[in-house]
Amino acid sequence: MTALRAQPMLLTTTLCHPERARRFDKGDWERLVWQSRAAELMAQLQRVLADADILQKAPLAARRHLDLASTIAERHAFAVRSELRGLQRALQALDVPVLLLKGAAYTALSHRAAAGRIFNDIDILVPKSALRDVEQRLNWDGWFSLHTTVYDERYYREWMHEIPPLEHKNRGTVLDVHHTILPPTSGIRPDPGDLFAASIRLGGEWAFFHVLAPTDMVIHSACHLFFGEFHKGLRDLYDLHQLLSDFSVDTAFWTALVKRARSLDLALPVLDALTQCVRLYETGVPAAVTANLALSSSSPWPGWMRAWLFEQVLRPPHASAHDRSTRLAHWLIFVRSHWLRMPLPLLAYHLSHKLFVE
Amino acid sequence: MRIAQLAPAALAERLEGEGVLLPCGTFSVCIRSDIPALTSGLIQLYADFPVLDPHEVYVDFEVDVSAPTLMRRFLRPQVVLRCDGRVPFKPLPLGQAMPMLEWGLNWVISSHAHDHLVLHAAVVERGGRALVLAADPGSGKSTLCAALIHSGWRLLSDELTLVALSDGLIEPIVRPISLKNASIDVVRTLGPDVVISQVCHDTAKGSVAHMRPPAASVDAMNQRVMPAMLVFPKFATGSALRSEAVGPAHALIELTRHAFNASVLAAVGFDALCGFSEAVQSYRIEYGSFEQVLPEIDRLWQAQT
Amino acid sequence: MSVEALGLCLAPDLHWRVFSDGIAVYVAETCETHLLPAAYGQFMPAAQGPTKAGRVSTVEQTTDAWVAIPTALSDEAVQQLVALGIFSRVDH
Repeated sequence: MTALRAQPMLLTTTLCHPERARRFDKGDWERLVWQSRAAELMAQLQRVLADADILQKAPLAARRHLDLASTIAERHAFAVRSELRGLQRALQALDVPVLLLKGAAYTALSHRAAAGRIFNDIDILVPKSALRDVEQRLNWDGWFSLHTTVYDERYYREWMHEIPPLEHKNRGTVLDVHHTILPPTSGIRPDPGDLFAASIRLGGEWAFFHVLAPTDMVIHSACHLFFGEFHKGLRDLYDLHQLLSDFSVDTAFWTALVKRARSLDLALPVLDALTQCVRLYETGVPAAVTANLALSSSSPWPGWMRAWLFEQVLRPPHASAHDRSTRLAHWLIFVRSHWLRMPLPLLAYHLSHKLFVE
Repeated sequence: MRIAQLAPAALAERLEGEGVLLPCGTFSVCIRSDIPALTSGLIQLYADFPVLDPHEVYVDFEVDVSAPTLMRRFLRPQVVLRCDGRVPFKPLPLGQAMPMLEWGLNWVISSHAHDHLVLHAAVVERGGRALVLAADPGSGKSTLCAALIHSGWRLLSDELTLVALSDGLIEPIVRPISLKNASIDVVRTLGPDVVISQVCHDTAKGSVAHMRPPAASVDAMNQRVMPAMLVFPKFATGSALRSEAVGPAHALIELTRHAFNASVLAAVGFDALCGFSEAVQSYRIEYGSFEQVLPEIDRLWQAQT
Repeated sequence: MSVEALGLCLAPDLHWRVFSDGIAVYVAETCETHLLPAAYGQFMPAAQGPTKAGRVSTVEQTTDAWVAIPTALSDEAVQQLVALGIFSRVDH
């Protein structure tokens, strides 16, 4: 395998054009399965291949891996819905809006983006003023702070102004309670009140919860990825691709998105997200939209470097997709993500702690 | 072709290059390594294993056992196992390379074989039916397993019992038997043909070694069988023999504790455990020696057939 | 409130199997497995068909099998069973 050249686009191309898998040999299928597992897109891949009637062409063993991933994802979705019901019971008495983010939102919406998605954390957004009460209710329900070191507690509470991730004592699910969608120290402050005001209350059994408005959901997804470390880059962008394909059916969506992104001063992350979605998943984004966003975006890093960086880190984390420069790119992204989240002195302290103490 | 038929130099070359493809439970795993201890470990413990052709056989997983970083090849040398880019365990001292491979392969099976119920149990076969031994670590399960296969039982697995969800049959894995601390010397005395690897001291589990599986068991690795008996063994030095029947519902509850992938399988796993508990006679046996427990197992086995 | 007034039924998504020495119950909502005394068999709907020897048999599920539980259980037992997710209270 070391003699073969890297196949960074094998997974994404197959997701866009499953019929090409008809010409795959045994080695291609092996690498496709490994890459999809590494990128956490196995169940989604299975769905795409099954829908295109290609799955029966796969070697039996490859099919086995993909079918198993699909079954596990279904059970996982069931477990998530149980968790959300529990959360509803725990927080119902508080008169506080609780917004579901990311996977939890897609699940409650039964959105296509939820299909096949495995996620270990549930993310919710609550008003900052309610944080204390919410944490207390969650403690009563068996949710406790996951990180035990004093350093990590401080990192979360004092510097990131967040509650540390909470873990349920019986089930081990992790709950992240946010009060803002970006770290306050990053210097960009979208007003949470704004997000709540635009949010949508769910119906049926999830009537307790809110979700972000479509434009905000897209913006949050873009920000989460581009201020972060890209661990689940391909997966997060695939979610975004599905959201965009869905939301853009409404002709007013794109204009609303651009306007919202600019007003929140988040044109650059959204532009990056859309550009990468188009590159990887051939999402139908009108050229005018990207042009418009580009007008409001600027970055201290040169365009060619950013493009190279994104191309490198948005590959499945598997050796068959990597070349020599991939590790360097990952290191640069790691530094960048922390630089974006915190002021320089804090960054130095944090990095040195991670390097020398852990 | 089997591992034993490859010259050591040829085996080492393969391990460093295209890798060696071996059957592992229901998977085929391609092993790569540049560590000499792994070459000699495979020759010793996997001598009778067939080497599969990677051009013909589908490769389910690729496992690499090597130094974690360049520095760690020389300075307090370490070894790490990677599977398809994932690193399931922290690095260990270089001397524990072979145990690391064994623990790694167990991890591969228990993390991915979700079309099976994966039990933390040993399983052996006689007369076309399987005997499953489920116990907590330190209860003597692997030692008892080794003793059984030296008294006429076929080895299916010493550590992981795979029960197919589709039909309830048990899938052999037949890898080296892992032994700890005192049991290493006990097993050495079981027979002249016992082959035990070098002992690694100071591991997280104490002193660890592996016993080569019998050739006949390796040859029969594709023969799946129905379970007939479940035993919860408990060894204590000087203990008197005590054996009692366990009802199926009680056996199920206890067995759930030993099911590695119960949470992943959820209701389907419960379903499989029900089928398994119904199909077997279950017993709890406390014992202090092989002289006590082996005849007792024979007696119970004859009684239920 | 008394059990009679509230009424009870088996919780949704409950799986169980009646054995000679008790009833094994799996609560999907909590992912927990419990053992009930054999006497509770009177509260579980009858099995649908014979067990096929040598095959993994299907286990009864409650999604369609709501049953009103008689008041032979103590309040304490009921409380515990509801807390474990095995019984649900039915609002009439």
